[in-house]
Amino acid sequence: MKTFLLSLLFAAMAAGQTVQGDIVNAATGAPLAGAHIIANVANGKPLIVKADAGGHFQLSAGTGPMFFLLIGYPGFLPASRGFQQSQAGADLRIALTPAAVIAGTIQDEDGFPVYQAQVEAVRYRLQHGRRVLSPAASTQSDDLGHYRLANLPAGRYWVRVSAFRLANWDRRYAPQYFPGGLQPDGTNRIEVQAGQERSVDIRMTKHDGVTIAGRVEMPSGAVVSTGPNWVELLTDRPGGQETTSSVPTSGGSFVIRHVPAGSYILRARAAGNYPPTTGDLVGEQKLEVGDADEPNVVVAMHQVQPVDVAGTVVMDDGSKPPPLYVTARSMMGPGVTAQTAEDGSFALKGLLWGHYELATIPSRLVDGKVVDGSPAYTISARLGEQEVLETGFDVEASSPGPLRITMSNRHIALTGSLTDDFGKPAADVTLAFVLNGAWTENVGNTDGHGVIHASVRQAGDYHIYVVPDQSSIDDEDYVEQHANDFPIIHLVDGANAPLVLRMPATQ
Amino acid sequence: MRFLLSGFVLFLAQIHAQTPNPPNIILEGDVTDATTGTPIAGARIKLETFQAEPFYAKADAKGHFVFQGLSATNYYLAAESPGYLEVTNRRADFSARFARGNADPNTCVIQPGSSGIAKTTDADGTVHGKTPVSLVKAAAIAGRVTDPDGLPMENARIEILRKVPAKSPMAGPAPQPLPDGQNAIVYLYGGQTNDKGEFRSGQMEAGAYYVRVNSSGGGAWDSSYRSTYYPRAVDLAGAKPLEIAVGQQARADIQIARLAGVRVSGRLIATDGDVSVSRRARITNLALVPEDSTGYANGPFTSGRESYSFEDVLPGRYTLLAVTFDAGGDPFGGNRKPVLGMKRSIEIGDQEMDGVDLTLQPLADLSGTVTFQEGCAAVPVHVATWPQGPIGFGRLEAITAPDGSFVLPELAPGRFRVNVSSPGQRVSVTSMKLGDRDVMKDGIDSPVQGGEPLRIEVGCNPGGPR
Repeated sequence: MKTFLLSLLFAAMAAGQTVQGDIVNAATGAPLAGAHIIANVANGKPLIVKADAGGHFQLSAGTGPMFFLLIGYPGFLPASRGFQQSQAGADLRIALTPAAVIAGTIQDEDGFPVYQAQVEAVRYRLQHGRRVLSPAASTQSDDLGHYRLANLPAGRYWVRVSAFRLANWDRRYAPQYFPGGLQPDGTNRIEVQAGQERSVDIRMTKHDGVTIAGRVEMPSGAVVSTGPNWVELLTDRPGGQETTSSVPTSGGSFVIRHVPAGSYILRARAAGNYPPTTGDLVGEQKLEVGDADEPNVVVAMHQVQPVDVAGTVVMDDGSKPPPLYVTARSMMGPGVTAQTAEDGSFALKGLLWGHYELATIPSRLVDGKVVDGSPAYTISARLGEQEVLETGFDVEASSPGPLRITMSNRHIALTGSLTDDFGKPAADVTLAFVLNGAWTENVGNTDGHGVIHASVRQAGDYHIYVVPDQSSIDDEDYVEQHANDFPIIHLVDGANAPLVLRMPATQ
Repeated sequence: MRFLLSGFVLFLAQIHAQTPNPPNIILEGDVTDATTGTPIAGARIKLETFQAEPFYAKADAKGHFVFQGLSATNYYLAAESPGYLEVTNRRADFSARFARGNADPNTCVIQPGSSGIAKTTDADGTVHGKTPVSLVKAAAIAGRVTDPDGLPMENARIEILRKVPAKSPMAGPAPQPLPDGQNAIVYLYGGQTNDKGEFRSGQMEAGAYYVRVNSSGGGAWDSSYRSTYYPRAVDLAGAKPLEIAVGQQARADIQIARLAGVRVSGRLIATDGDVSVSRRARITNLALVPEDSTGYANGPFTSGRESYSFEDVLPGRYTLLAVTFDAGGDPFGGNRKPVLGMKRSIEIGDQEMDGVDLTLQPLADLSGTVTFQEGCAAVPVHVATWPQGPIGFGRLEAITAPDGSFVLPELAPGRFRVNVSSPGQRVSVTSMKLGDRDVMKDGIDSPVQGGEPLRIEVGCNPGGPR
């Protein structure tokens, strides 16, 4: 959504125009010699230039319109900047924030270094109103057990270790959080400041868990290949699935040992293609694991067949829907796209077994190029009685349709000014407008003169946040700390008074 | 009566002899350093069957370990200790099947390495097995990558390539030859540099290795930056392999080479009735492949709609490959269909080359037949292509008709291998010809000239499942 709004807010710089500026250390103001600036150019390769010894750079949009800049320097958080036509020729001052690092060594209970462990710095993010545990950085430990989680924004993180190689030695080494628990809790977060490198040595511990055993049930008359079937156990949590075990069946039976308590998906598939395709046998079921063994789980298999999902797009105000592409994106394949007809109807054809996320793209093809169309946005997608816009939907043996997608054109335009704590215009600042209690954010920005350009989608009370990097508005710590930086504003449908905002002294 | 009683006792004794209690089985051994022979105290050893909980043991101060209470079954042994290469999947077969098939019932084998072990049986039936376990010290390569200006290069791709004799099994069926003609390189490790430009590849065997730094895609990798081999060479001919001994920790600091080249650009022209390629939702992917490429020294890639441009191309002779994909029916779903293609040779000098217009032709089908050797059942087989060139254009698949014929639709330009498999029985290709040319080893160069059919002959293994 942010990208979409940015594309609406920022006009491209015209070919032949130049942009220049200085890259500095946000903490000290010192120039960052050698910092790289990547300019994304329409219909061409990105331009890359480096800042000179004084941190100064200059770019010319010689080959085509420039859209935005990505700025980087080793040890600093990357930054991005959009353009407006009025900024052409202006001097930009881009301050990069020193990144934090969490580094250390991982050992197991025997004191052996843990090699090839996946190490992540994770924190909850608020995505579509849900708290989702997401990695801010990830890496792999080396043969000495050393790891280094770099490029972290200041904040609090859990360090999560998934030691697949060690778990292959001993299944009791389940994925765990420093200092050894299976779940993140409030007491074991690591706090890092901007530019700080914290040493965190990890000693992994064994967890017995429980045993899950059962059998795979084939559909009657199925032609079963001579190869083994496989049963996978995947964690089932908001934000994604992760395979924790994969075992072959023996005579149709399977045993998975040392499974920690939690929500899982048990997936079985016959030897064949991956991802499964037409004719392959698959089965899947949800499983809640507690502190007792599950000895008799039956996974019923069925044959994958392509299904069609029909649907309709309607507008919330009853007007005619714009032309759209409706895309069902799969984790296990390229997905399927359909174009809506004049009356808003569409058909997603040939969906195979799996989970799909839904996206609507209000675009058209003009002379072979994708052209942004209506500013309409999706507010609901219902599959029968179920709302699936945020959760996606599952396709199994038969069509789960029809889909009813509701869109809206409502936008409330915002203008105004933002000044820094000295009262000077705050240029090139990204702002987030968060609807009170709904966790639906809208992103705007200031231009080179501190003028606010933003829009939100519905009336209500909004918190306003300065967004120093893309992830901060999803960070609950950041949101909590900065909830009162600006007064809450009440926005109504139609015209609103210009905003007059002054950044707090700590920004 | 006495006769009857003694007969009954004899009968009972026979029953006892035929159904003995399961034997107590013990496996023990010593873990030592493969080079020095010294014991490795604290090494850990695992014995598993994959059906039950594994057994674990730890070597004592003399490197000795013992497993007790084993069953008469087939085990796999693994051993590890910090700083040593892990030993895995050594078979320790105590099963009845093994005992039946072995001429000497007092011997069992831990594989591989044909390390036969003496098996002794006590008066109480306890079976003792013994195996030596020697571990080899692991080597490592670590280093730091800097850009041409000396700044740490983050997220650069590091590749470790092992130098092996071209004719050794390690080189694989399609070795990537080195300029000396005697040796080949095998891809061993791929990783990325961290925020300080550092990398480390551990758990390595002794040997000769090339280290190459490459773009990981995106980021601040300028078009004038070159894939660079340790210490600072842009090709294998100038690269220096690191000769690493057992357990050695070698260092390979690399500064990325910067070499400006020339631009090669032009229009993309279709021949299928459209005025230009861009009249539909089309995207063309292009690659410049050096004609002396070993497969690890691919040239630049680019893409375009109506036109294309390669930046900073070095002088040399290249093959220019292009494939146009049509995404009109699914511009966001990823189901893009290759529709047009071309391949040509191009000599690039030290001057900019603008106006190199490319005409893209409709892709042609490749048809052929599969025949079976005598004695093999003619079953349907699965025929699939695998790209061998620098740009993967996906995989084409076909199932043979009852007469053995197949059609691989719209084969993109490039070089392809053809694999044949069957879900019903094990099959192996014995000959593969395109016209009169043998293409079994080197694959097929597309577009195929003259519409020649592909003729594949396969053998079978009638006794075994696939």
